[in-house]
Amino acid sequence: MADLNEQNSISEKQGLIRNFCIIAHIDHGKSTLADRILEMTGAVSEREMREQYLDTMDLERERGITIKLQTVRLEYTAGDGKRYTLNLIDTPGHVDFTYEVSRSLAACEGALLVVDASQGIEAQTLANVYLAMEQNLTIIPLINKIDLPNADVEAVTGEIERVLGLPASDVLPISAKLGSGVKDVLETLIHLIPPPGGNPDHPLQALIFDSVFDSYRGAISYIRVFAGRVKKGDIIRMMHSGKEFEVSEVGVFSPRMKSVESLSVGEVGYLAAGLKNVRDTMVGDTITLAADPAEHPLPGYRRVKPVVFSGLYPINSEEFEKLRDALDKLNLNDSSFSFVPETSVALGFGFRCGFLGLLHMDIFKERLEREFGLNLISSAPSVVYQIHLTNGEMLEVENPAVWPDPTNIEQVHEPYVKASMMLPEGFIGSIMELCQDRRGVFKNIEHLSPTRILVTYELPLSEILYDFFDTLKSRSRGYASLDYEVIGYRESELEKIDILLNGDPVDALSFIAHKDKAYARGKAVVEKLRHVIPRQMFDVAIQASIGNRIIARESLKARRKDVLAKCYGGDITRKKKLLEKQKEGKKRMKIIGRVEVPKETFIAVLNVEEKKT
Amino acid sequence: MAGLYIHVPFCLRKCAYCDFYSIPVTPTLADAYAEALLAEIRERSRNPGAGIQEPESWSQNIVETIYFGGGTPSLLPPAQVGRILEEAAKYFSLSGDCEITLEANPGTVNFENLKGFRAAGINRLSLGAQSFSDEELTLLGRLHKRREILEAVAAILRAGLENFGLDLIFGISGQTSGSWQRSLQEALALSPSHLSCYLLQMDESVPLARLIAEGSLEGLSEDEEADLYEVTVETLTESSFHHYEIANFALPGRECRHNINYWKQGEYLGMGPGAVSFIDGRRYRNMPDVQAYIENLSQGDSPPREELETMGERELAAEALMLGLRMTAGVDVEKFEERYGVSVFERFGEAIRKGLEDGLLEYQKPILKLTRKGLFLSNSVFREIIC
Repeated sequence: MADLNEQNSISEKQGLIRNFCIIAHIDHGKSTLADRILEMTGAVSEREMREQYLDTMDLERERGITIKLQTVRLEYTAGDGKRYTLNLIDTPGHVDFTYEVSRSLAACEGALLVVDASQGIEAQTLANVYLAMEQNLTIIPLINKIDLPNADVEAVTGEIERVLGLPASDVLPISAKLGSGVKDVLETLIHLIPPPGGNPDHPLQALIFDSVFDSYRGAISYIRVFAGRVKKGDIIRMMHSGKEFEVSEVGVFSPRMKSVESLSVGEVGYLAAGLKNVRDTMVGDTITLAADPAEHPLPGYRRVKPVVFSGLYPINSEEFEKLRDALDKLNLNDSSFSFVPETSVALGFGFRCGFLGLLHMDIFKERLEREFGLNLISSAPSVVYQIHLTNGEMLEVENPAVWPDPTNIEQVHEPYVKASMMLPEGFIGSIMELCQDRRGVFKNIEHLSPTRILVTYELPLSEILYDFFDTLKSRSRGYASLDYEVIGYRESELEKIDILLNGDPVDALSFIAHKDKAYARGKAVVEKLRHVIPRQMFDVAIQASIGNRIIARESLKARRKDVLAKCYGGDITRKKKLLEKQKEGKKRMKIIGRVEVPKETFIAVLNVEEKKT
Repeated sequence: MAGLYIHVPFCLRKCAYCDFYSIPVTPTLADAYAEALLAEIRERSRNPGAGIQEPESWSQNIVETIYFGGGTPSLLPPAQVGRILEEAAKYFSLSGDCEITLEANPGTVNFENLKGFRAAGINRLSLGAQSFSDEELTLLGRLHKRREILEAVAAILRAGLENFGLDLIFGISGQTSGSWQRSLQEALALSPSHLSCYLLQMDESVPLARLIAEGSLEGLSEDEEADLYEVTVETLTESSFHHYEIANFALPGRECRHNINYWKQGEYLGMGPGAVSFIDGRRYRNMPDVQAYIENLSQGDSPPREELETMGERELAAEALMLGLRMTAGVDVEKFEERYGVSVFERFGEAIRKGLEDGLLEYQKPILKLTRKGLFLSNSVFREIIC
């Protein structure tokens, strides 16, 4: 983004700014490196320091991953005696969050690439490095965890050189855990990463790269100023929405929010303007001044569309409004998901929500339950199908329940991805078998090193939705890594399979499968449901059907034992408590028709091992 | 009417399926315990409400049953049982035909001590036979074998305690309809007047439950357990036993009155460490701590106690319906309304409607009761009733 031609004319203050992010695969040590940099620059006192400092959500700490973008402004006096302002923008490191990574990259001039000294480059690393290269960022490769006994700096350096084309001489070996080499990292980044360009006297152009909701100040935009300056009292205009607001505060992250006079070109900070509505601070929008607007918004920003959809329903139907509020609130912090109200015969009123991927969906559901105390059911995730009808219309269907009548369908198209998998050569057979089973089309195989290969397949997105990554991991004993990108739609022979409980179709359990697999999937799902759904007071027939044709059936026998064997004077109180506890457990079940169904049921549909037919 | 419950928290060894409070016994400890119990009898006769409130209801009460439960009450020397009963007679109004039960374990009884128990006033014996299969008894961690059961029953009859019952357990790993039926036949052959047949249900912390949880032992399936229950009901009713509560069977007139008092939500005073009392809608218990129990009472203090629950009218009615339905005689809804001031159909309409619909309940004016199918599925009715 930096306009290199303007570098000579930039102010001294601007020349002392470095905006950078850290790119790394999960577990390669990004958060640890960020912790060390925070300590070394004195941004966080020892008293305040804790591991994964920038990961503020409980979920992030528990899972050891970064979900929400964090930025921090650091002051650093370099070897040349000058005092630099470093803006570190933390990035998430999972395949679902390519979108968030792209936002943080857009606000930077450089990136630290962290590669584990024993693991080498992973598929995810590669994808993010390519994203960074597209943005013309200066990349500084770091080999981390050199203190570990199985570290192989030489081999990993070779990989970085061969695969990424970065010179071996630029590679810095470090141990973020021990702090060794981290000072060199800071000196190198000041030396190699260019200061931000842009003219402070041009009309304001500030990129919104994230937003966060603050109950006092409203929706706060995280911005990177590319031209001009912005201060309190300015009337700003959101260039895409055209709406105007008065700035109530601008500030920087140090790492807590601290208000400043103004934010000028090259700077990273936050802006509050009393925004009550999420949609007013659309990530990717450009902020300019109403009085002296820029001619164009900032280019090159891509808004990512959700690819995975799932219905979210409150188990207790009275919690519908509460769910809506919670979705609104989360939408302030994460604009990458979508939600629209939907109704299910089985589940009542809920929302169809779109996510960037399954981890994104999982985390999201967990946050709804934890942070808002909701008790939710989610239907099986689905991709967006394009259905061409015989009458020439095209429908986009993201919910199998609304699949049109097969007689009206001319053609069905489904999204495909290009999946890149890196793995030790020895696992190639079993990984290719997995990809073939999932209707994959082999594209390419490439040797990264004498023992590591990069395999590329084109696969239907629906086939990698649920357990593909887990299976990939288990079949490669944890060594394979995966990255994928959606490459477009292709025609497929797909069928909708309905699940019936005691003869009544349960819309939320319908799913789509390829014609060749429909029978096996139907059988597997029905069998799985027999184990997931507890026995009821009456027999329950569980059936799978395509149209009117029943393709599989299992029967769930009526319950026969539900009793307290003993109940005497000494334990009446205890036994009553036990019954109350069971009663609470029942409240977590959804009643469909008269059948009590646990909430896991709806996910179970996708999580089945198909029997080979 | 009211009952006295006396908890005897001593066992020779803990069984593999039991999570009740009990500790090993020594003669000195048994004596000290008996002294303390005498003290508690005196204390409670003055202070049945355990000092928290003075229940008016209790003073009208005639004690019609006394039950020595455990633990293993048959480990007490008969002389101590005698002193306890004498003290009870002195401080409470006992009815003339008071049912006085002692729980006993095979291997801890012989003609001598049984004669002593009878002389002390015990007129009903409940023997923890549990199973007639040595293999099953070992699995359960019981100290006795089939042979000791036969010896115990012979001694019981010789001592003149012909009103005796046997406790049996079904649902043990490896048990089949056939083997269980043989156990039942063997029990019947001993001509007990009462049989309690309990489905094995364990707290997850007990050793046997852990073996099953970790997969070293296979538990029975729901269907197998239900089959065994059906075998139980069929076999025992065919032998003229009256199936009067979910797990209890008796020759007509030999139903355990002490336990019926629990299911009719009658009042009871529990004495001894760990014993629970229910008076005036309030349930509380002596802390299960023998040492503290002895210490406090020897110094003239009350033993440590805790309140379990104080029920309002709603909770009392719900509990009464749940307990009442455990009995096959069911609940007389007219008497219920008289006693609790509320119609079961108004208060528990939804639960009853569902129960009737699922075939778990039946109503024949004025009796509401569980169906035979409903007995072993009663929790699904009870869960709807309790509040």
